[in-house]
Amino acid sequence: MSEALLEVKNLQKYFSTPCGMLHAVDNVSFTIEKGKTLGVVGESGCGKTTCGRTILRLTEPTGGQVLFEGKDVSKFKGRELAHLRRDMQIIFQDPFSSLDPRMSISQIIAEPIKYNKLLHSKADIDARVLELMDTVGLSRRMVNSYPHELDGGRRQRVGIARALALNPKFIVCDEPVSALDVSIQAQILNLLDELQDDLGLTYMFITHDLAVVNHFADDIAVMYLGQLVEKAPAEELFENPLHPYTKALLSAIPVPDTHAKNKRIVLKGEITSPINPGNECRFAKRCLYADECCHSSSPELVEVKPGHFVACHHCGIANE
Amino acid sequence: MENKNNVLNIENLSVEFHVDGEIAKSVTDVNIHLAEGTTLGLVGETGAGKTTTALAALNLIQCPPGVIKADKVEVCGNDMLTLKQHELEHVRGKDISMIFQDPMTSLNPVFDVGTQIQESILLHEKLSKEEAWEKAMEMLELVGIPRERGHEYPHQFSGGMKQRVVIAIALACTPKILIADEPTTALDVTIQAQVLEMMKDLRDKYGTAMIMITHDLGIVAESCDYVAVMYAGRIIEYGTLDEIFNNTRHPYTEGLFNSLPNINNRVGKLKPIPGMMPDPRAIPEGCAFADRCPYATENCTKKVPETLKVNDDHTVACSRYNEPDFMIERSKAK
Amino acid sequence: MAKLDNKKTEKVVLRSQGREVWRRLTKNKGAMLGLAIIIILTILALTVDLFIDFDTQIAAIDAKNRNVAPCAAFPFGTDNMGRNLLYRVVYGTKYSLFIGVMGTVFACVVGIFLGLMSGYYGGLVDDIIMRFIDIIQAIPAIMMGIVVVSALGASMTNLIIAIGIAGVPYLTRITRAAVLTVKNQEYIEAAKAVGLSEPAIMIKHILPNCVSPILVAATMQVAQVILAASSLSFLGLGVPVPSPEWGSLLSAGRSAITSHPYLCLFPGIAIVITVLAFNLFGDGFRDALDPKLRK
Repeated sequence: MSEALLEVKNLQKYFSTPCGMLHAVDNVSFTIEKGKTLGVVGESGCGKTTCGRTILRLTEPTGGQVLFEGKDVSKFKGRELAHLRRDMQIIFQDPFSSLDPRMSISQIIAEPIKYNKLLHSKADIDARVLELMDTVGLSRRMVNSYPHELDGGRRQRVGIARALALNPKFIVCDEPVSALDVSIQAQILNLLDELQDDLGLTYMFITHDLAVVNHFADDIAVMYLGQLVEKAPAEELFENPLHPYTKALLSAIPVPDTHAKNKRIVLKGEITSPINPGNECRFAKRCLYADECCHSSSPELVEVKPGHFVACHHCGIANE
Repeated sequence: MENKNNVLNIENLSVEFHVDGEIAKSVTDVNIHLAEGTTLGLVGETGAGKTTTALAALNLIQCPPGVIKADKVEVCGNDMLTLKQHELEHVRGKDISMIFQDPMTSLNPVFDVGTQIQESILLHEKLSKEEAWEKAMEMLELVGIPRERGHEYPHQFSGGMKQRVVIAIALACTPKILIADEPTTALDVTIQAQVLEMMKDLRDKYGTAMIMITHDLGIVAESCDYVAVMYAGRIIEYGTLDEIFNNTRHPYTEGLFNSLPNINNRVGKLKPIPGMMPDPRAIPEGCAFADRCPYATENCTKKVPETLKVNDDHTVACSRYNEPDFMIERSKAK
Repeated sequence: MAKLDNKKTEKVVLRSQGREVWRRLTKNKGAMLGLAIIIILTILALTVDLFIDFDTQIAAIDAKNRNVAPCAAFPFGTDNMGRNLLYRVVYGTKYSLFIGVMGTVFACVVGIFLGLMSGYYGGLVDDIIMRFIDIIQAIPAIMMGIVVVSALGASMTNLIIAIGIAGVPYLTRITRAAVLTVKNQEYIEAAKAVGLSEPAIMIKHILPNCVSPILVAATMQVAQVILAASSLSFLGLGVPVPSPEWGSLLSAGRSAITSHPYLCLFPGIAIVITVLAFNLFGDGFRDALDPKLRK
């Protein structure tokens, strides 16, 4: 058992909207061990991106704790927060909008180094920029290029280099490959994989693509409308999914194999609004197994097997 | 594959764009034949020319800067390249229809969805307003939206629902051919499953021929009968679903399969295709894939590979295919 | 595989951004022409007192040579008090250029600051700033000028402040609109994630990406300011009367435009050339700053 690098306890993030409180992240708790990858899966609007950004303090949490190396960072301010930024970084989904179009590649990569005063002389900074470009597999002759001159895969490499510039311990990867073509996707995934091995990084890997996390993550957390509905080691989750939503999600993945004949669970019904949700299971309206109990109380996340957590009143029934 | 039942015949289609004195060869020598009720998957990466091919079939390419050259672009017997503007408008929507990737921007936010379907029906069929509305409501129900919601506006619908409305508009006049350009890319997996399922039902019901443009081989495996793999503007492999998936012949197609994370095997390392697709303004001589291809020889860079017949249901454009000992890894394993 | 297009032996030179922009600017002929005119006008404005004597050549009335049409002795003609228009136009550079540039700078500094604050922070800050801007805009520019100048006293500085304030709403709105589109881009969040403070984000990322519309607005503002200054001078609230500021030359000549059109023509040309120079330079500068336009 290695030590936990990041521990999230009852994290909450609410947004106030004209119609009421939007519960984007609601009582989410998990831990990530050093050097491991937690895959966070869910559909658009389930709060997975907000969760990642709240951990990084890019948005302020409404409640809960984030313990990074044992320290509660959710109350950090000023210099402490600046130091935290060095340890925790993020890779964005859209390589087209995450790079400032007015800055050259070298300026983008050098910015975090300059701003955090990690290196001082221009020669040192330049050398470090080139070293980072080598690390992520960017040709050195692109050093003076601008983002619009690069294709998606290379832009994403620039984004990764920028995140690595501060030597972080923990990186939130927010859908880093979903805007890329398959062949480029695989290049970036392999790069992230190698970096993890070489630099001992810990990842929180946010994605909607189950096939990608399956390949990449050690543990997988499934989110639905702001809540964690299931969390288990990757293999366990794929072989033995318990929550009805996880099952539907798994069955919905199109498999590129003509022999695969999977029974697809097609969900019906309306999605519950995340604005002022009542005390019920948020999946109940689309769930095949829902009964009165599900509509009257919200299920807790319980450990049903070692390491396998699920939030469902009926995970026994659903299992059959 | 020429056949009387074909609703769509495209022969030797090439599309170029002339911009700032440079020529971008977006599509080169593409042949597509589509029979009634079949679905063709058009697979390839961004910039491979999939969407341009589809737009050329509807003669929707801006000329200039576009230049279309083709022996034949025939939709239900209409030669799309010689028709006059008003005749084209009649064919589009009635015989051939297209769904675009982004459901968020394909609907007009100031009209309710019923009116938008009704409008498309009124354009092509001689019906009274009331009859057209009635038909619009039937179409809504067909795509799984209760008719009571016909008076609602696009912003009141979720992404998946909007895409259903777009499909309802496209199918309102029961076209013979439906071109779906990445219809589910903007949608969530569970919603994607619902939409794909629905499209399959509709195809079975009306016998609509479909071209499914996608980069997701999983979707192809589930919903297509034929597959055409495009690379740098050319179709490099074409055949039935079974042939392409289980008797793969082209190194690029193999590369696409290897790049996919396999859901049943989480240990294996991904094998991406190195490098990237050439710029359409500077497609290299010979085989465009040669510099990324692990099997390429010197010969490959000299001559554009011919389209060779593997069997009646399968063609491949690879210079090395005819070599007696040559076999790509994927086929060796089978 | 990750070290895909990696050639370690390659020698690379990192270019600095300032030099890059200057290099692109020098390639733009229009911008260089504009810059040349601006420099000439500036030098003229700074040195004009060395070769034109205010008391004898500008302010002195010459009753014998009233309303002389352009000729060899008076290339630009003379006005109804017999003053040589050539000297007056040349001397006017000193006032007009200064008022035009400083008025614009004032409007830009205040307008960009307010626009940035209101666009970036939004909410209450936005509401307060924008309502304030609405109030300023509701007051006619001339009124505003009269109020400011009569409150602070007639002087060039106060004139500049008065005219500058009138230009603030336009620049604030332009900046705010640009900031709103830029601030939701992911690179702003990326900058936050690497630890940049909010002022640093605004200066290093938001402003450079808003620069195009602001530069266009600012170059237009120069012309506006020169003309606005003339109306205030006309009312006796600007530059004191004998001083030949272009705007006042123009309005003085306006009453005789049918009989002596040259009285309007030459100050008019001077204004046009100045405005054109700023527009050319502004456009060129905007293009030079935009890396997408580089070849």
